[in-house]
Amino acid sequence: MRSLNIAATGLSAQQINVDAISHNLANMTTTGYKAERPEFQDLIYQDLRRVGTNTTDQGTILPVGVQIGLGVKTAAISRNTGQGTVQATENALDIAVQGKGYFQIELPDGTIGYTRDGAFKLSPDGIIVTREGYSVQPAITIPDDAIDVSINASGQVEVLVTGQVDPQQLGQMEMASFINPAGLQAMGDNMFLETAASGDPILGNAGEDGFGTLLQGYLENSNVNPVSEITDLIVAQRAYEMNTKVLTASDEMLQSLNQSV
Amino acid sequence: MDNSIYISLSRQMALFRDMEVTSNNLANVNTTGYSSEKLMFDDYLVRDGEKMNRKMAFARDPVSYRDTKEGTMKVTGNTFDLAISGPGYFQIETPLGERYTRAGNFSLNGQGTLVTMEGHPVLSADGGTITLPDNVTDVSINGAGQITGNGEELGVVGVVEFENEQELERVGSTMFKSAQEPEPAVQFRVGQGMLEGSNVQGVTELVRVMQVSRSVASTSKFIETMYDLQRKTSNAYARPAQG
Repeated sequence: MRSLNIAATGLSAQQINVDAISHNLANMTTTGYKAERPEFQDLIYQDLRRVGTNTTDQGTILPVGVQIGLGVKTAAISRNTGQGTVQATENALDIAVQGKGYFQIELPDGTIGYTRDGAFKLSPDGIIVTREGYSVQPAITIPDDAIDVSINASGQVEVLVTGQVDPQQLGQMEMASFINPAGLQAMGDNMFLETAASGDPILGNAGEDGFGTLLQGYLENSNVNPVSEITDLIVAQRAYEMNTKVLTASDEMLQSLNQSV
Repeated sequence: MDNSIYISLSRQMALFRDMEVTSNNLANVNTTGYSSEKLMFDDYLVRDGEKMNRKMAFARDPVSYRDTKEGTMKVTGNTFDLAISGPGYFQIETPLGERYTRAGNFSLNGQGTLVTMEGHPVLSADGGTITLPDNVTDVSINGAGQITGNGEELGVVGVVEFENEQELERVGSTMFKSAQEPEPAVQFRVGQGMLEGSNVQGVTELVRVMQVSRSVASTSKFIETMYDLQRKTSNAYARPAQG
């Protein structure tokens, strides 16, 4: 009986839906988090009567057939790459990106990770690093006699050193952008890796064509919209219930068959 | 008397198929761009061999049809989520030929080409693929499907329609194929940042589940009664000595 299996595909799809929603809600206050959304598609169809076949030798054809679908599948979990709101932190090394672009982070294994989470810190050697201690590329070292660090909208890092009047320029933060940022692979810790789907990173400075600008003293919040997540949760729960109902009804149908013979 | 059992059996088989169609609709109650499938029943008349004026009607489900009503629109805010309001389908190029869909959850691939969730390119109004330049930022798509970015026009998303929409054959992944030649759609609007949800009516389908399940129970009961009757008859005839 196909309907038992069809209902099972429906149940597992809604389970994934609820999983994704709970992941979004759990990361509602995660810096730089991008909401995820599962995409569903119908499974293949069985043709019991194929549309367009001849019904007589006079050339009349079947205008519609009988096609039985075999349920639903999860096609993808896509990421909404829209801008999150920014929140003031007044921390000199907290940087939010407004618009397109990712910070480049050198991971311990030497590969480059990409993040929108600009909550940077200083290592004991004065290098700008992430919360995990991975250095931001290109590496910028703040001298120990610096009084004040300023990072402007295009990512130039300047410090004011004791006894000097003019600020000293230390370097330029380089940003990466992708043709398809939704295709990046999430690896946890707010970090993404490039994939064949995301395309090669396009490097450039903040504020240039195709790149957003930087905002010092702010962090980008997650772009999770709690209202729509809760609405989706209700829809997912109801859909789950409906599929459970199909499961029990199909079971009862088989039961009544078994009892009658 | 056997006929009554076979007629009930024809009904029973149609009911099981109805359950399969209904459960597929409910499994796809959250599937973007899915349109629900309905079975249509009719009767298959046969004359009884002996008495020509007596007719019997077997239940048959010769066709299923697609409910082409528009699904509910859901705002997602994603640049490449497109919904068609009004009749029409997006054209997708797959290795197996052209396919059509109303599910507009597209994205760009690594080369900047507009593709579906499976990575098949979406075709433009003139039949080519749509590739956006690297540095494009503010992409907007208007009601006619025209894509503009950085102030330049970058292409038009193709929307087509068919003379007989019911002839479209489902191939899974919310796509259809057709032997008909598609024509450019006229009365449509493309909505950016929106997706067309499934048009399955949860409540109606649930009621259908109940109806089918109860009908199966009563049909089984009927078959059981008929068997009982047969058994009693043969028992009565099979006692020659006591007559």
